[in-house]
Amino acid sequence: MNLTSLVFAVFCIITILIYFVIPKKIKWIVLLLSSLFFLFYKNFNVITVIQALIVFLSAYIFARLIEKYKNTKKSKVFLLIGITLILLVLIYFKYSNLFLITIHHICNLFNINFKFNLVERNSLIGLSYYSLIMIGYLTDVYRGSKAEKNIFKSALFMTYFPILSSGPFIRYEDMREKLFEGHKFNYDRMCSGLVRILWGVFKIIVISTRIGYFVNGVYGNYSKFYGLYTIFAALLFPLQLYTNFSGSIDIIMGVSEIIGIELPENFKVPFFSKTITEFWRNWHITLGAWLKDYIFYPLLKSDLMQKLNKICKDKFGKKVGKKIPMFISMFVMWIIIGIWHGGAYTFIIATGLLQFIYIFFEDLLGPLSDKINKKIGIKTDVFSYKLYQVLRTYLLFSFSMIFFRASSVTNGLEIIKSMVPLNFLNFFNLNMLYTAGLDRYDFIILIISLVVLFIVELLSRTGSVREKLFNQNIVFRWIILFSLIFFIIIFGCYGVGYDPTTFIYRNF
Amino acid sequence: MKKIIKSIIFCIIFILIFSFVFDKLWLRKNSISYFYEEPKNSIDVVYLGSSNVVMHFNPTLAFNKYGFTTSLLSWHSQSFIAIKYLIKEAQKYQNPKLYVIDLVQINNEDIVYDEGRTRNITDSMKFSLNRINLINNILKYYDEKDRNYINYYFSFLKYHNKWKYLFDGSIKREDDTIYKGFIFDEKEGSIRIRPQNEEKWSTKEIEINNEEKEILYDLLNYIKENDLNVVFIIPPRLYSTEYQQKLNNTSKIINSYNYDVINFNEVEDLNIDYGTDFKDSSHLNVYGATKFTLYFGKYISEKYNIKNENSNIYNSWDKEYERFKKDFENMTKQNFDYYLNNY
Repeated sequence: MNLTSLVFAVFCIITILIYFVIPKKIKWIVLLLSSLFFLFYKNFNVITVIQALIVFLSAYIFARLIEKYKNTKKSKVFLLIGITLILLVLIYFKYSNLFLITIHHICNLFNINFKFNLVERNSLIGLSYYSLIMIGYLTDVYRGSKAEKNIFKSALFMTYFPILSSGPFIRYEDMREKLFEGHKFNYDRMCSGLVRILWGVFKIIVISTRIGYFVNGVYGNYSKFYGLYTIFAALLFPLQLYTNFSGSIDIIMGVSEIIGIELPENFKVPFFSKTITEFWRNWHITLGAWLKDYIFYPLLKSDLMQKLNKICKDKFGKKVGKKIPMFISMFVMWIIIGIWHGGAYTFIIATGLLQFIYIFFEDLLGPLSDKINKKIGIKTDVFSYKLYQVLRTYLLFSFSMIFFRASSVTNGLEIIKSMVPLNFLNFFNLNMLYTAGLDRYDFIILIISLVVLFIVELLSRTGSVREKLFNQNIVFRWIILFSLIFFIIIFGCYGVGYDPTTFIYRNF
Repeated sequence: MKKIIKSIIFCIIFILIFSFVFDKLWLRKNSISYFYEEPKNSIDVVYLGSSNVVMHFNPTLAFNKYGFTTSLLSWHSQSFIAIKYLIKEAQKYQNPKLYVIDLVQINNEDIVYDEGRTRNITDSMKFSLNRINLINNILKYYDEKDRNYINYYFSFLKYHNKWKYLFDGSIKREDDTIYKGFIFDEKEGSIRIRPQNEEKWSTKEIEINNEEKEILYDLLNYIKENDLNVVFIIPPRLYSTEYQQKLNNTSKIINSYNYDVINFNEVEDLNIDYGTDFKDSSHLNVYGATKFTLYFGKYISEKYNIKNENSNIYNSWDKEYERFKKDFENMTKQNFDYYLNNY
C-alpha cells in the first residue's frame, strides 16, 4: 500500500475512527486487525502466510522458552535457534540471489562451473524490518526483559502497520505500554500528526518524485547526459533518497502520533553533519542503534575479540591495539548494513564498504588533519570551515550513493566514468538540461521546494518546527498551512500522467 | 467546541480556495461548463446531444428571433449515456420548459469509450453525486484496466499540473460565454450531392442492440417519472441506410412512450442544401445552422409557446447575439441581417 495513495489515506481514517470509538480495552485489537490487513494487502497467499508465521512463531515461542529457562544454557540454545529460523526466512526471501551470485563468483575463482538462475521470491512488506526487530526482541528477552505472554499482543508488536513500510526499528520494552494501553482521542495530537503527514507528503511528491524524474533521465541515458549532468544527478540523488525515506517516516510517524503511539525518531537533519560518523548518527538512527546493540557491541565484547584485543595490545601497544578489534567489528557491522539495504553488491559497496572506508579514514586521519590545521593556522571553529566539512560530508555520501542508485557495480563505475568526458568542451554543455526529465518550470519548483526544506531543516535544529508553528498566531499559522497544502496539491507529482510514487526504502 | 468550530472554518476555507483554484481556473471551457454561468432559472430550453447540436443550433439567434433562451448541454462525441445525467444537472440549476434530445449518438457501435470523450463531459460538470454516477455508468463500458474511477472523480488529479501553462500564458479564460455555446464555421464541406441511395429515408427497421436499448429505456423511464416536456430530433446530416433503419427502430420505441421524434431529414420546408449548408458530412456550417435555428426555433416557439419573461438576463443574450453577428460578418464578409432577409 503506497503511503501517499488514497487507499492508504482511507485505510488510516477507518482504522483511526474505529480505534477511537471502541472501548479502551480492545483498542489494540483494531490495530492488530488493521496491521494484518496492511501486511497481507494484495499479497495474501500460502507463501506469505507461512513466512510471516515462521518469523512470528519463532519469536513468540522461543522468547517464552528463553524466559522459562532463564540463566541456563538452554536459553542460549533457544536464542540461537530462534535467531537462526528468522534469519533463514530473511535470507531465503531476500538474499537468495546475493548468495547464488557470491557462490558463482567464488566458483569462478576456482574454475568451477556453477550455473544458476536468478530467483524472484514473494516476500512480505517489511520483512527486513520485523525480522531484525524480532531478533532484537529475542536478544532482549535473553538479556532479561520480559517476554510477551499474549500471542495476539505479540503479533501486534511484530506487525504494527506504521513501521512495516519503512521502519523505524522499535523495541518491545519501549512499545509495550504504548501499543496496548488504548489511547484517548486528543485534538492537539491530531493536528500535530496531520501537519507531520503533510510535511512527509510534501517531501515525497513535491521533491523526491520530481528529483527522481531528473535522476532517472540522466542515469538512464548517461551516454547522452554526461559530464555536469551525471555530477548534478549524483548530487541530487541523496536528496531524493532523503526526502523519500524521511518523508515516508514523517507520514507513518504522523499516523502513529494521531493514534497516540509515539515512535522513535529516525532522522536528525543528517545533511548538516560534519563527518560521515556524525552523518550516520543522524541518518536511519534506529537501524544504527539496533546494529550497535545487537551486532557491534556483542561482537566487540565476544571472547574472540577480547582475545584479539589482548594480542593486539601486546603487539602494537594500547592505543593502536585497542582499535584493531574495534575496526574489525565495525567492518562486520557495515557489511551487514550494506547487505540489509539490498541483496546486491551495489548496496554492500554503497551503504557498507564505502561508509566503513570513510569512517576508517576519518578516524585515522582526523588527528593528523587537526595537527596540520593547527600548524598552518586554519581556524576550525568558524562558519566557513564548518561549511566546508558539511559539504565534504555531502560529497562523500553522494559519491557512495552512485552505487546505491546504479543497477550493477559495472553500471556504477560507468556512471562515474561518464562524469569526466573525453571531450572536455562538452563537459559544460547544459543545452539539454531541460530534456533530461524536468523542464524549466519543474526546476523552478524544485529549487523553491529545496529552499523551503532547507529552512525547515535549519529551524528544526533548535527544536520542533511544528511546536514553533503552533505557537504562532492563527492567521500566520493558517497561511503557512494553506500554502503548504496548496503547494502540494498544485505542484505535487501525482495523479494522471505521473508514475505512482514508489518508496526507495519500501521493499526492505 | 471552539476546536470543532476552528476545524469547520479551516475546512470551509480549504474548500473555497480549492474550488477557486480548480473550478474557476482549470475547469474545461465548453458549452457544458458555460451552462453553470447562466443565472438560476433563466434557461427555457435545454438542448442535449453531441457536436451536431453545438453546430446546428444557435441559441443567440433563437433568442433574438423567438425570445426563448437555450442551453446546449452537448459536446463533441458526447455519449448518449450522459443525457440522463445532464438533464438531472439542468434540473438542479434551471427550470427548463422543454428538453430537446438529439438522437445521433444513440448508435454507439462505433463509439470508442476513451478518456477524452468522457472527460469532455465529466470534467466540465461540477463535482456532485450525479457526476459520480455518470462516471460510473460510462466507465463500466471501458476495458477493465482503464476503469480508473478515482482519476475521473477528482479531475484535479489530471489537471493540477496545468500550473505550468500559467507561466507561459497558455491558460486563457474568456470572461463570458461565447455565443452561448454555439460553434460556427462558414466552410462548405465535401458533400456536393446527397448520395442517390440516401435521398429517401428508409422505411425499414433494424433493431438496436441491447446496450443501446438499455440506455434508451433508462432515459425514457427517467423522463416519464419526472414528467418532463421532451422532444427528440434526428438532425439533418448523412446517414447510412443501416443507421436510418436503426433510428427508425429508436423512434418507434420513443413513440411508444408517447414522445415525438422529428426527423429533419424528411422536413422539406427546412430547405437544407447539401452542397452549401454543410461543413462536413455530419455538421452544418453557419448557413445551414441559421436555416435550422430559424425553422426549429419557430417550431418550438409556436408549438410550446415558450417565451422568456426575465428581462434581467436579456442584456447578456443581446450582447452574445451582437458578438455572433459581428464575428459572422468578419468571417463571411456579409451583413447578417441582409443575409437573413435574402437567404
